[in-house]
Amino acid sequence: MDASLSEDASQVRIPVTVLTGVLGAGKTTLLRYILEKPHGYRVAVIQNEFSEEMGMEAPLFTDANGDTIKDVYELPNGCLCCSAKDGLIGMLDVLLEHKNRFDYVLVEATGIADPEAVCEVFWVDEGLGSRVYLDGVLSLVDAYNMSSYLGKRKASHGYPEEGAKSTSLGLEAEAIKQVACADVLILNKVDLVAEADRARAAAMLREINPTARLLESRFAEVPLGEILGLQAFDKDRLAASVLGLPVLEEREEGGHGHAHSHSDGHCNDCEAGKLLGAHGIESVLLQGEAGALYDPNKVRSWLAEVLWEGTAGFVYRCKGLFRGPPEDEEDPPEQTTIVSHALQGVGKIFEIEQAGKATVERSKMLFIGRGLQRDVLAAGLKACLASD
Amino acid sequence: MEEPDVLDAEKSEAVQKLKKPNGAAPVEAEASDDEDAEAAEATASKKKKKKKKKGNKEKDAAEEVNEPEAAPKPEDETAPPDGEDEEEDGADGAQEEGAAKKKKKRRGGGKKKVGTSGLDGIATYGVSDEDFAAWCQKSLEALMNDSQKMSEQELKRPPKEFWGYQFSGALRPAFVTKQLKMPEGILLPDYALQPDGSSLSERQGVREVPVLEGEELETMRMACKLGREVLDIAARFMRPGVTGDEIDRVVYQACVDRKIYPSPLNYFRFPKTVCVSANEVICHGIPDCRPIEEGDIVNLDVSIYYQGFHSDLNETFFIGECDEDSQRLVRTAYSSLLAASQLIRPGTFYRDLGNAINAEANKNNCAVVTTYCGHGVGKLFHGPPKVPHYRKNKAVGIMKPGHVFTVEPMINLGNNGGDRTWPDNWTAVTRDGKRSAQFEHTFLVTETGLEVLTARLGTDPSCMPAYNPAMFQR
Repeated sequence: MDASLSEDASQVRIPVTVLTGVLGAGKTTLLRYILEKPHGYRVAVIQNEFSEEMGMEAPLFTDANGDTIKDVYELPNGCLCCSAKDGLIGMLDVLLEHKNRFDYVLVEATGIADPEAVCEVFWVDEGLGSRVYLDGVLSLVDAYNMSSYLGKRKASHGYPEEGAKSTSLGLEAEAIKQVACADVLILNKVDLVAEADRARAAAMLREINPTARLLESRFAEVPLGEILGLQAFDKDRLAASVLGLPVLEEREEGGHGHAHSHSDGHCNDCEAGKLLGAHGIESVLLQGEAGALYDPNKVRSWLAEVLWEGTAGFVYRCKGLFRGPPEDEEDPPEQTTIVSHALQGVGKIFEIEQAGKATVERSKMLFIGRGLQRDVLAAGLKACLASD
Repeated sequence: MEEPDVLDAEKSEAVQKLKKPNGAAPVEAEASDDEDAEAAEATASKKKKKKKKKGNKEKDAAEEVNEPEAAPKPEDETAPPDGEDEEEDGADGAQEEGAAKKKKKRRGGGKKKVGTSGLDGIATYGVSDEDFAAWCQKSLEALMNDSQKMSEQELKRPPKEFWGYQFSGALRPAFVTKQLKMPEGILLPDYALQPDGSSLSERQGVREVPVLEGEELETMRMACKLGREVLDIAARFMRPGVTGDEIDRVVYQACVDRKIYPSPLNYFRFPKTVCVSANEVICHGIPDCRPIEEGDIVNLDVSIYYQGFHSDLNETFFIGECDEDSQRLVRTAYSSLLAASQLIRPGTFYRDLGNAINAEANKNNCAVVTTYCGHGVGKLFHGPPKVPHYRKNKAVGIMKPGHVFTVEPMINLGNNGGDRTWPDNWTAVTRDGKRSAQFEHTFLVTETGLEVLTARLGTDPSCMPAYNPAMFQR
């Protein structure tokens, strides 16, 4: 009996999408688009502060009694807008009193550079029976800014230090982390850059984060269906994202550690691999032996060490699907003793849950971060093989 | 349950001399002879505390009327519970009598084990029941407030912010008196004087769980002992008819006497020195002028700040005879904390404590409150790690020697672990009005296991004692 979920049987959980991106990337433009255009989506937007550009002349939000709710504005297209300056959770609570008025929440996380901090707020524990769930993390990237630096920069091996303010890439260190952690990347202002530069910017983004969906936009106009309702943290949807990762062939000499294979020994993107040296983000994809089973408890302990103690580098994001025996509490599906376990992690926060519906032949785990030690990670995973 | 002893004339004279300590001089009074003698016998290890009490006394060497120093030495606390404590408690005639009176009047709960002190009943710290009652009386009178002049009806009227409020249960808030201020000379935490009660040190935050060792750990141990002492005093004072407001004043005085700060006071504007949470109140109950009733269960949550360190502990008590559901509830809350404590050792994940707590709650048809968590405690009142009490949580961190944190499961009767906050912005109640109980300790992770820093006197601090309802019977 899970006592904590029983509060309201008909409770529908609201998806929360987090929008990251540095100043100037176009977040305000995207928010205006959401709040002004008649796109048909009912979105409640929580901004850090009301910006004057939003032009808040819109009517105030009223509740069932006709009293105005302070600080929540209703826009003509049916969307809501409010400010988090007095506290994000508090504002969320206010909004949730009226959750029949909207279907999505978008949080504009300007002030919070670290995606982990935002995820901590919204990626709520199952045991909480919360009224919201983290649907996905978006990162808006300025193509123009990126490209004006790409042309001038030279390949170098210098990694920006963890915590460094900026690199010579037109992407600040914190922006790089946001890109690494995102589920959807929006490359904005593509109308302002030459085609070659656009391609290189896109390639670099894919380098940093191989699993994020990459969208391109002008004036931050993206189909809302592409950024809302992603269910990116849904364990049953994980399979699609993880299975889409390529199977790795043997590592190249002095391999780059990036997640694509070199079937003909040559790689165009490995030119872009030089960029790897400059932005410092790598991804490591671990693959299990065919048919191998991993013990979820061992995997948890191992990942706690990796993510909390940094034993294999700095991990910004991890995702995976692995085969293993069912966990004690869960009822295994009939007639099988092998189930899939889904792993999701942002920063230090991670979760492994049984994902019954998803199946995978070979376990896969993706790590995105800095200074990752592939061998250490591989050895760690191997030690999690289920004993018979 | 226990009637306060009538003041004799000599002592009432002393009462006149007591001044209200609101920003003025510390409380002082004439001591009676035997208290002086007991004070003189204080052991070396308690000198520090004595000095604190004598502290800023401008007048003569008049001893404060409060707990004289005859409590057992710290070393004795590690001894297995036996009759030792009763002896050390200054076994004068009054004390024995007091203890006997307590035994006779004990009701409800389990049987009292005769002779196994520390486990049953509340530590007396060498103060006879009479002297204790006298001290309480003096403290209350010294800290007399507006409630004295108000009629019963006025006291019962819920504060303005509650007009029109739909209560989930039977409990109603009563009049809340003005916030007390601590006298000069006591080390204040950074939020004490802030208008919004916020803590800069907490806001700046630390990401890593602090490791306490050496001198800092010793200071923390003392802070926990003092917290335990103050809780024991508040619990000893509590009985049917007493109000939260009075308990607050008793806690205030006990802290002034020890020159320590009651951590809840002004923490984010919390108005009082202690949380008093009855029946369906889950936590953060504001002490008010509602008399505590027979049949209530009441949680007292005490935190104190001593030489830069906070300690934090709470216990739920039966007031007179309580129904079976309440007995089951309190037992479950205790045993869920016990289950969690048994996992505390280096290498345990903080996230696993919630699994143990939740399992125990489910076993007894109770629910775990999810909104409030255990927390690191020490230099910060609330800091890392975060210790959720529910299963399958994503708490970050692995226990290491030197980590100090609380575990404080709040358990509700029934299957609803939800909570709701009263319009006073503090009191958390169950959504369905059913009762809630809680226990809390401050734990230290040692090389091999744990130390219960806020353990009751005379109990083995390397583990929590088995549940014994007599320990919580008032």
